[in-house]
Amino acid sequence: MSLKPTDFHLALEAVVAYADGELSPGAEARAIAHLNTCPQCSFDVAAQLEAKTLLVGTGGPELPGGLLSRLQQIPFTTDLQLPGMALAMHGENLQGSRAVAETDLTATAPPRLPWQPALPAQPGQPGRRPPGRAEAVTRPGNRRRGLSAARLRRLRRGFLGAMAGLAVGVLAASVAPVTAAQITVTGGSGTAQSRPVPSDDPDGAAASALVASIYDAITPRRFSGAATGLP
Amino acid sequence: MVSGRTVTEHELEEGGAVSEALADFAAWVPPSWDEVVRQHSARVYRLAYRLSGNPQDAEDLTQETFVRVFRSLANYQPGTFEGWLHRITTNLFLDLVRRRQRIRFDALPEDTERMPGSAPSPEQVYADTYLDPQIQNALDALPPDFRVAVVLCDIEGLTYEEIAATLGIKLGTVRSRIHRGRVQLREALAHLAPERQRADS
Repeated sequence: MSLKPTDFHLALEAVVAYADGELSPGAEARAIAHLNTCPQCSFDVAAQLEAKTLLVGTGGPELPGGLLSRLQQIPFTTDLQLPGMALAMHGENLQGSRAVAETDLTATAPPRLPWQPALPAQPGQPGRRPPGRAEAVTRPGNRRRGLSAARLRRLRRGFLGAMAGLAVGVLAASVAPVTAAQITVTGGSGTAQSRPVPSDDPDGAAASALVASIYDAITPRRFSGAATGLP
Repeated sequence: MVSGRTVTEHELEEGGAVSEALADFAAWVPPSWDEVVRQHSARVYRLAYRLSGNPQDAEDLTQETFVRVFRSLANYQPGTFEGWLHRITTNLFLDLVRRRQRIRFDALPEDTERMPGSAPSPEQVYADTYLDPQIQNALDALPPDFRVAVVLCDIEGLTYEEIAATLGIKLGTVRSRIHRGRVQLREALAHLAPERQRADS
């Protein structure tokens, strides 16, 4: 190469990369040879280092306490948008939803993540669930934590009329007394387990399960109760 | 131990992606959500604060980042968690900036609370962030693309390659954005370095 180090200047990209130690060994050696003879490029490198020094090692702002707890509650307040999580609105899905709720009751880990299969309690492994979480999990509405508040609002609006119609229709059916009793239980302080589905009357069972599931979906009280009951 | 776990039929129904990903997780103990939050929230918040320059946006960005993380956990590949967080946070920030730029052209936004004028005092900013308010202001004045590159490099300590991967840009672009960002930052802060000013003149 006929060019001497003093015949050129470092490219700006080489200046910044040299300042950050990002040049390959060969390029770095050539840059040093040039910098030894070139005040202008040396100045550019110094300017880069100066700006860098102002920022490097600066501490971080304190995480606001309220934000931390909001982040921890994301599993309870976020719609996961998984296929299986979409609306347990149908009678046949109700059993599955209940299974989730029951699994959660026995899980030792805090909110189950999508990467974490729901497990029965593992002996020998101490529970990592923070105090207070257990209460929340046992609340019946908690199995609906996959529904966001906004979605619940939408559902409530959309299904208020539907519920009224369905309730009338179901009540008019032959299983009226049983169904009415179940609705009352669901609307009260009953748990998911306390809502029996009569096995000898498939039609009535499906209808009452449907009404119950709609009622669950449009009752934000349960959702917010679960959310605010958290630590 | 994860490897000893069995998957019930219901869980397989619940998310095919989850079961597919399980093989990757065989030798890896997944953290709980609480651990994820505790381990990463401070760093995400710091990055969000350095990028946005104010606590409200920083909180919103942090919250949204973790919501995205929670929703996408099934697609998460072990080993890239921090890079993933960086990518989500910076992309959300750049989206936010672009959205506001559009709003500024379209109409006066309804939410004007975060426009200049209601900014906290410098003392408050320093107390909140432990960064000289003049430096934070100089960062805020950088074009967002430069700011992201400089913050990722100098505050987050990422390599050029990591920054390129985070932002989806070429190495040469990373270099030039950092270079130009630092030059502008230094000019904005010239008064902070009297010694150098003497050397310049």
